[in-house]
Amino acid sequence: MSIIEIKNLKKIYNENSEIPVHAVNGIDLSFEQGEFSAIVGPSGCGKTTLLNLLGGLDSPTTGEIIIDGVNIGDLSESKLTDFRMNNIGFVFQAYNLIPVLTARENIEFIMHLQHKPKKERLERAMALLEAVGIGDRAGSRPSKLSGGQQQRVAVARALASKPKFILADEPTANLDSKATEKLLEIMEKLNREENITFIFATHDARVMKKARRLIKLEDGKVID
Amino acid sequence: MEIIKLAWRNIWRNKRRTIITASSLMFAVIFGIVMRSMQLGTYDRMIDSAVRQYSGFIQVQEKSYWKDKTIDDLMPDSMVLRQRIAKLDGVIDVLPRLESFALISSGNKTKGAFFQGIDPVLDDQMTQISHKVVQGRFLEKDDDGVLLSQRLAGFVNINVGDTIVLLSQGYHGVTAADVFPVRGIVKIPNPKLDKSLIIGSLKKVQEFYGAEGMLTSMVVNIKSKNNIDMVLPEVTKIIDSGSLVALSWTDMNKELKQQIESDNGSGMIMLGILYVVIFFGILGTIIMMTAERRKEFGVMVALGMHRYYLALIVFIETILLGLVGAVTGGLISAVIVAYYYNSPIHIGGEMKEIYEQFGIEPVLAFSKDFGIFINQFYVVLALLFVAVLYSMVKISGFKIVDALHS
Repeated sequence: MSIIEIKNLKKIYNENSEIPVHAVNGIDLSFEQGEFSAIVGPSGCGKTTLLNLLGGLDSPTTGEIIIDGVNIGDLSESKLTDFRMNNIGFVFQAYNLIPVLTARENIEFIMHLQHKPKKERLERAMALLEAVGIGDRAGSRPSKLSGGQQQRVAVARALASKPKFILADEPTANLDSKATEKLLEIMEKLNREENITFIFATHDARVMKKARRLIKLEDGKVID
Repeated sequence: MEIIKLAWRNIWRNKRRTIITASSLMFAVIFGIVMRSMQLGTYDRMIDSAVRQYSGFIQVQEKSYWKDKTIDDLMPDSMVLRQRIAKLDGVIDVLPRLESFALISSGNKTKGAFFQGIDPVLDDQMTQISHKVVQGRFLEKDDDGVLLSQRLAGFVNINVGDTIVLLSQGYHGVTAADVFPVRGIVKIPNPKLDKSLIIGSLKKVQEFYGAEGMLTSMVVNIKSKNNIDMVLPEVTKIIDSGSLVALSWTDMNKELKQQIESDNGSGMIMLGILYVVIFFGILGTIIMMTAERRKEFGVMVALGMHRYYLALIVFIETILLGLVGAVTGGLISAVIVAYYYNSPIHIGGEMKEIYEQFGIEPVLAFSKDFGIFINQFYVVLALLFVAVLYSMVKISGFKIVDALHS
């Protein structure tokens, strides 16, 4: 069953200028629950733009994105914010953890926004840190963690709200091969054992190798 | 994780900048409080020495007396009226007075002086003038001697036990002349008065001017000068408005009132300039904080934080930053103000003479009115509220994708 349906999606930058940029140029796609997919292609092909549109971080010029039956284009900004919080997890290339919070607090942060009770927040944050293999670093701030550890905290944070899927934009770009291997292993395990849907935007061969579905983009279009 | 904890941690991300910003606020608050305390304390002291210790805050007079202050425009001393006024809320007592000018002569020295007849017991309750006797003793009821102010006594070279001759024009043109033994020398804080005041018992002064049973004024001794607006209309209601009038100290001492208003105004302008400079310092910090955290703001909103919640965090951060500076400044100011309240600054040298030329006691006194602290706190809070608007506008308008890529 499709959890995401994309219909004739277009994102044009500088639409009214002499040289409009068609970052996403008429994409039709769907994603099933439990997918472990990678959107791949050369730099500037529209991977990140597509991911941003999928995550409701940017609005399309035309087309529709329907997530679990909800056309996110119809949501007000406030409802879209709540929708993102409850349905979509994000993993960014630069980790983007909140520097003044510890690893555990970074994970609790999103559950705090969901008004989850303190006990539940604490237990789930610790469970997620254990799941990504850094339970012993719960009290460390991001500046005291390696890049790989920070990205694992970011994955745990993305899972904290129990989202329908996780969007990961170049999650391994700043990691060395060992950290990449470990991170992919963790995400693959979560996908396999807990049926969590992962959608990557990447040009990292190691990620492509692990992905069960590759979506190739070129000039804003799906070519394969 | 509580919002305040997050905000508190955020302000310490850049310790140096936070310390510099909080310090600028702290110094502004210290300067503001100490300066206002000194201004208001000095005004209080000026009012106290010129008003409480002399004219009183409210006087009842014969209607035409104030214009020319002649001995012929007197009012009858009415015990009934005094008692009725004394019963009003906020009034301690009513002091009968008769005062006019006289020539004082001793040996070959003569000087124009101000001769004031008082009820020594009642007057002392308000002016506490007996505490200012530096030589000899204070007057007794119906005493036939006089007190001389210190500088006047120095000018005419008079000591306690000596005799002075006073010469003047009395009530309805009678000649007033008499000899008075000097009972004591008083140090009057107001330099102008200290050069010219002679104090006698009311009965003796009435006899001197040939005005038995007559007064130039009834001084209404009130509990606090803040009660004037409440007491004055009540006194006006009681008196015979056909022949008498009730005047407040601002009617009787316009010069002092204007002097205070003008000095107060220039002080406020200085404070205003200081706070404008401080405001731009705070604004600079807020602009930097907002710019360098743009990406983080983008991440927070992307993860599901509402913009209003993010704005609230930044607002609390700004208020906490302000509180660190304002509270520290307030505490340091409290110590400074407490010290100088108990030990006012006595001005010396040429400045002392300049002050005295203007009839001002050369003392910088401090006020410990808590309102001064609260007002500075409100000013700081208002500056922070205005400065934080910048962040609010930025947070409400940024594009998530742009912020994430900043």
